[in-house]
Amino acid sequence: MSRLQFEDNWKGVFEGAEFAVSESVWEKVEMDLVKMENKTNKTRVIFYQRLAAMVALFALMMATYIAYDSTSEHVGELQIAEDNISSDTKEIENASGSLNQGFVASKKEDIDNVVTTSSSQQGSRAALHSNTRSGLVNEATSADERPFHLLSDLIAFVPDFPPVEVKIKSKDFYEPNFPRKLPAMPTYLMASNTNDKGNEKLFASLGFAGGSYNPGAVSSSPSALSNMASRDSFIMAQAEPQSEQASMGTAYSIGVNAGKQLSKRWAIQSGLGYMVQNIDYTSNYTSVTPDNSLRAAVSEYADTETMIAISPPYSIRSVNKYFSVPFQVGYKLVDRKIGLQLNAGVSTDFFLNNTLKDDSGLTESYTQSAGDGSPYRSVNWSGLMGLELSHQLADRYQVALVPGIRYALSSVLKDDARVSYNPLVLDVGLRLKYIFK
Amino acid sequence: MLTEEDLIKGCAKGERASQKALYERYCQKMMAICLRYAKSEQEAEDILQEGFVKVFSNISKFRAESQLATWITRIMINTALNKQRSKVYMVPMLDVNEGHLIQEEEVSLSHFHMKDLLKVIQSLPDGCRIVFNLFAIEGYGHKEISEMTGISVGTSKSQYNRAKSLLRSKIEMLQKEKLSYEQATI
Repeated sequence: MSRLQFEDNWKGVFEGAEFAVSESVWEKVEMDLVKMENKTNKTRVIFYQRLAAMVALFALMMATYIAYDSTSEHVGELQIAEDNISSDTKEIENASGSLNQGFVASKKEDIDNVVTTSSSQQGSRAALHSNTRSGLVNEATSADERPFHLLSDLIAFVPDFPPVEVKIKSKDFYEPNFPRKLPAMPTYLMASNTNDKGNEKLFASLGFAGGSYNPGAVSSSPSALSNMASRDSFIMAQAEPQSEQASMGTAYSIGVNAGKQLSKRWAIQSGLGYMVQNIDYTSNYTSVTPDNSLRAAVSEYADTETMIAISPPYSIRSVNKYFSVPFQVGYKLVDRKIGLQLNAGVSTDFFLNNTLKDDSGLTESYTQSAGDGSPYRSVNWSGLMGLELSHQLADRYQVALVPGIRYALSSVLKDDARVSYNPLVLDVGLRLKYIFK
Repeated sequence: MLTEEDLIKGCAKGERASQKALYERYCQKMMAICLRYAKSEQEAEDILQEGFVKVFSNISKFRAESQLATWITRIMINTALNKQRSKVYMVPMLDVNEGHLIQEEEVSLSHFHMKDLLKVIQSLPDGCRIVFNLFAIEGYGHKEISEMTGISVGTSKSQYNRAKSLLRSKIEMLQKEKLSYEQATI
């Protein structure tokens, strides 16, 4: 007989063979499954505890930042109110001597026709100024007159309560008796239940993000328009040309990334992104082009060479567009089906253009890109930091929620600009990741 | 009656009823496999228990590229190998080529009881028993066995030949016992 027959004989005997199994086996299997489920629940609880702690920390940081920001803003507002009161007083004094003068905003006389408004408009504007002024004075007065209580004064108002005596009857008092104490198990003793990500070498992701945008403007020198106004009695007589920036804007971005898993915990990623940052202004003047058309303008980018005209206050949306190349290093804090990664890095941001849009249609939109004549730097660098809360959708797909911070390491405006802009973007992104295995 | 697909979905959700139904459908078949790899019934039950826990915890990874029975069988075999790995120390013996095998007349196994044959297999040394099961009954090649167990191809072949000669002698003894018993009963 051949060797094959030997194997066939044995194979034939056990093909489809079945043996009875004792009931106790299923009971043991069931017990193991229950243990496993408890363990999973325990690790899940630990994971959610850690996640909650991180979210709380993040929220605390955000709250601290917002509180700090609003405090500094409030101080700024009070300062502005004080300045306005003093400037309004001066304006009243000057207005009596120059009532017959029109609303001329430029040094050049040929612009007079463009910007001079009717007497009814003058009347309404005067009323507006008067109202604003009185409002500010009232506000300031009410702020000054507000009673200021010392803590000692407040304590004086608190009535004396008689001391409360708490009596516990000893026979009714029940002291709970805990049968055992739960052991505090150090993490290194816990069984590892991590996913096998050893093959996860390369990955690509597509994502978008949206959030708040704070330009982080800091004035380094008086506005060109202020200088101009101080030299020009026509402007001084009516109103100072100024624009006011909203404290917060919006930002959104889309991008593609590719990365590599360097080790079990560390990963690097880079990519390409398109970023838009919006912020609103209220301006009371426009710039006048050589062909006598009015163009949206804000004081930050004005220069003494541009002709300007005073206008009723109008809203402008400033839109900055960038093309960015981020580079980030990631460290996996939690490596499970739901994972958590801390990312940090830098981004090279290429300025594309800035558009000042006037939605009311009073003035023309104005777009300027980078270059010699532009106040914007062509290239900026931003620091990036964020978390990546990922969920394994399938074997090769992950979806991730990415809250992050982007802070410009240097001003996006050139050194000779009167203001310094270090934008801070706090956003939350959604990212779809494909893993090459 | 639940279909296999329903059972898999239920088990993936962690439904106990589906898990029990799946267990009941395959436990006896898997017990037969475990018994071949174990030295005793108790050890076979341990393998079966551990194997089914692995099946339930990994069933979400089952992609239906193979039959469910094949997938579970593979898990049981791997569990048995892992259990044996610590105690099995397979020494490479004579590296025998197929050409050198002694051609002997095979005894037909059809008239033996399965339980007796199982006892014969269980009486083999650990290394021989594993290689014999993998090669003769599961149908793996020596190269695959060497990858699965971490031994060389030569060791696998020599272990198999040793298992074969031991089985022959044990079957002969069993046959003699059977004949003498039959003669005594006549």
